[in-house]
Amino acid sequence: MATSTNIVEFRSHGSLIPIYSDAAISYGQKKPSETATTASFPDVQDPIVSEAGPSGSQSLRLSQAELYPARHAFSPEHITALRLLALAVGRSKRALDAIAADNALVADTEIQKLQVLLPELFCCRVLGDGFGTIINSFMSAFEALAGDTPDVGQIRAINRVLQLLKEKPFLSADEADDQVEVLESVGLSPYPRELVEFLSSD
Amino acid sequence: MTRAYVETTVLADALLKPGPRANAAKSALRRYDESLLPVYSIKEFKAGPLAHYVWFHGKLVTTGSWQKTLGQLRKTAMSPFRMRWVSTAIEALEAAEHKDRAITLGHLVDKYGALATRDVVQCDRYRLSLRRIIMRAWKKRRQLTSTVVHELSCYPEGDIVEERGLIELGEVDCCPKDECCLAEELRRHPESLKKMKAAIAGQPRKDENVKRSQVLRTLTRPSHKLTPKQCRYLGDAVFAYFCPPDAVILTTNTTDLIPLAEALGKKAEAP
Repeated sequence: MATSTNIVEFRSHGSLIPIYSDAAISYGQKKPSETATTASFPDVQDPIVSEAGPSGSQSLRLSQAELYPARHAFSPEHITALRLLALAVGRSKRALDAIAADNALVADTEIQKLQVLLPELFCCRVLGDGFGTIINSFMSAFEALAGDTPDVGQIRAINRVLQLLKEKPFLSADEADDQVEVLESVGLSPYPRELVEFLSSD
Repeated sequence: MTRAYVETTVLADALLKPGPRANAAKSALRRYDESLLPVYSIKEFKAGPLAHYVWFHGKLVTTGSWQKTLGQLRKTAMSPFRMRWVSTAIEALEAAEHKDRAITLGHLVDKYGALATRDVVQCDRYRLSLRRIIMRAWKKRRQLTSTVVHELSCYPEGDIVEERGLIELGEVDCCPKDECCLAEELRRHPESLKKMKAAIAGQPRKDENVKRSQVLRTLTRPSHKLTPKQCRYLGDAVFAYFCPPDAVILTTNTTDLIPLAEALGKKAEAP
């Protein structure tokens, strides 16, 4: 599970300690993004994290970037997101198969089923702005299509981005930007239409 | 060889207005063999349209509500500091909000609480969209044209960063040690300054024209030091003055720029 959800783990005396066990960060508690948290891990030997002294109780300084991925690991939102993303990846794959079999109706039905997963996926945006950015882009893209079925290239791109998001749901907003570019490159519009209209007015 | 000298409005269209406006700006740039972006455009872009977007984004972050942000947009549109966002544009957003009200997210609200309410969903969708538009615009600013020209030694372009969810623009003005770095070059051709001042005199009397005219007049006095604020007031005159003779100023603000450009025997065009 951990390999597919980019959870940070620390090795201590040969056993794995999930970072989210840090009691200083309770579920749902927000921290300023630029802060770092000091946590104590006795006898941690892993050179990756041993910034303090070589022995005894060590004070480890963990950046927000290191902590953040684990804050919502295995939270209900994380689990729901993985479940829905797995469904969405399957739907997009089946849509591609249907197009290959020249069955446009089935392809469109699969896309509809994918589309209705998006509002709940957006409710899982506590996983991060990267996650929210990509789901928002999907929602906007489908809104802009206004019921039209995406073409093969677009569905392939959707499938690729969904798969990546399933593998890295805690991706950063900057990483998400690159994925949104993939959607843009196949002609999908990643912004809510009314917002674009508003921003384009003088 | 055709060359375009890119003014702030075209830069803003290309980078901040996804859709038809950006496409029009970008295809206009492609019509020329070479496109030149003066750093003065970047400076105006950051202090103007980009700052407006950052303000909008900040309202979404701090209110956490689309309804409250919309209220702020309405107020701002009526204030003396109003952005060029007319009420009809806000109506488009309101219409979308009313349309979406018909869709019930009741079961999601039961499960996810406030995060699934229409108001917060809308707020976050716009916030995430704006964040991406702003960050990408800044990242791509120097990649839009074939060349970036006329660097400003007194302007620290700086990077924009995110702090506590808000986007921080950093310094937006020049920080000259003595005076604005453009002053010396502008004083080399006092006749051009006079011609531009005369051209402004023939234009409608509006605040920005009055200020520009005053700065052009004071620039001819050798003892006067050009301040960052005056540099900002010069605005369109900078583009008219510094545009190479063989280039065309590309701008959506042709009303103000054509008279200034023509006074110096240059051309300004809309995309």
